[in-house]
Amino acid sequence: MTWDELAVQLPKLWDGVLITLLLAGASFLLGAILGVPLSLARISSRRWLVGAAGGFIALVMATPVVIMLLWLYYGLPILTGVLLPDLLVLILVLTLNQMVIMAENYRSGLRAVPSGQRDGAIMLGLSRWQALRHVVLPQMLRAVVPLLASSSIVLVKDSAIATFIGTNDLLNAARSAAIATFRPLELLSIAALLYFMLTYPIALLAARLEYGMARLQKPRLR
Amino acid sequence: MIQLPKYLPPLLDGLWLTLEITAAGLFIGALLGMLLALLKASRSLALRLPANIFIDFFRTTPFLIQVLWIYFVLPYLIGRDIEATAAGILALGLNASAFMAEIFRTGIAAVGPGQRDAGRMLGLSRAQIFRYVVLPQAVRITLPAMIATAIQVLKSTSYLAAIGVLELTYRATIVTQNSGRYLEVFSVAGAIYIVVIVALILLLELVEKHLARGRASLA
Repeated sequence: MTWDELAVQLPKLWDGVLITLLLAGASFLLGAILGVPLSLARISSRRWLVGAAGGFIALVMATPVVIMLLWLYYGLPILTGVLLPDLLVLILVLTLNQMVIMAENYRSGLRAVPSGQRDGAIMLGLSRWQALRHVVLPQMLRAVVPLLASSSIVLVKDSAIATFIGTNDLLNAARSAAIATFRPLELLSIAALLYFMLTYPIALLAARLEYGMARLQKPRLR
Repeated sequence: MIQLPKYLPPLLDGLWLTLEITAAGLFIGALLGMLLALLKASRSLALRLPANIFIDFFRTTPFLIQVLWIYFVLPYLIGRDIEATAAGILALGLNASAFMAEIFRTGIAAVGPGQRDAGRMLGLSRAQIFRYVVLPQAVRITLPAMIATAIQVLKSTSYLAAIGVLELTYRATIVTQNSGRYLEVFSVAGAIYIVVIVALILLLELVEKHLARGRASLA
């Protein structure tokens, strides 16, 4: 095989990159949104709500993504009688995982804010909502943002489960091209490099953000 | 569910292999991870750079592509076939080592410089300080992260179904194809994973609580 033949396969990989980005992007947004009510349930004063949210989080965390995908793709339609398109099932799996991670991230972000901050704000005459909006939330987000970066890397990596149900994400595109051309070395290596190019900038950003955070939190004087 | 006795044995066989390859992968990961952490801490760039590239690459690419690469590409490079289970264990070990290297590195860094100075004061060599002063404390500090990695490795084993390793997930797909009972079989397989992993999560929480107690009594 010549390099020309390899070049023919590249547009297919590019289509795969787009599917991978679509899967990771959609699940990232949905997970970030759905993680909010889940984390609020986790810190609610109603015990049954805390238990239900904790059980849901443990259930999702304890299930490997592959078996979750196989269950939702092959098992769930038997239960519901509705056959969902494969992209939707993939986004569902990734979103379930992402919302659980985000809920835990939000919770650890809240824990990073000392309760005295909120009490102090309320003492100064701010309403509970104002205290949340102007005092607690900005500090919490500062702790959450580095975690956002690292969880988005996990999403891009987990999106490779698409290969199991034959959706043409980046990995599956590379795999089928490798089978068609008998060139796994080149195609799988190019795909790995493409993944690296997608995630490594995020990893650098995460490291930078964490470093910045650590500097912000460093105690100045004793 | 009526046929549960019929398809439970192959799934439990699969679980056994899953646990075995998890243990093997963790073992390789711990050894290689320690080596990588030491290379990363080295003063020489020629040692640091390859370790960094290795760690970054394995941490930022999907595990599945690492598995496929080792199973389909590595044989070209070394000129001999690799058996699927061996390829799977190798992939798990290499992947885990990249994560463990980071854990070890932060663990070693978390042991204060005063500890090292005290070791030197007592006349210990660099190697002795590492072995008797830094390592025991680093292991203690990193234990929760190690258990979390073990959970991650266990969950990752299900990817090995893609190359036909007869672990729990692949066993489950075989049973579904023979029986057509997708819902029941995948539910049972999922439940088995959940039981094992929840047990590990509880262990993790126990260890964290135990370590927190030790810390509180020091303050």
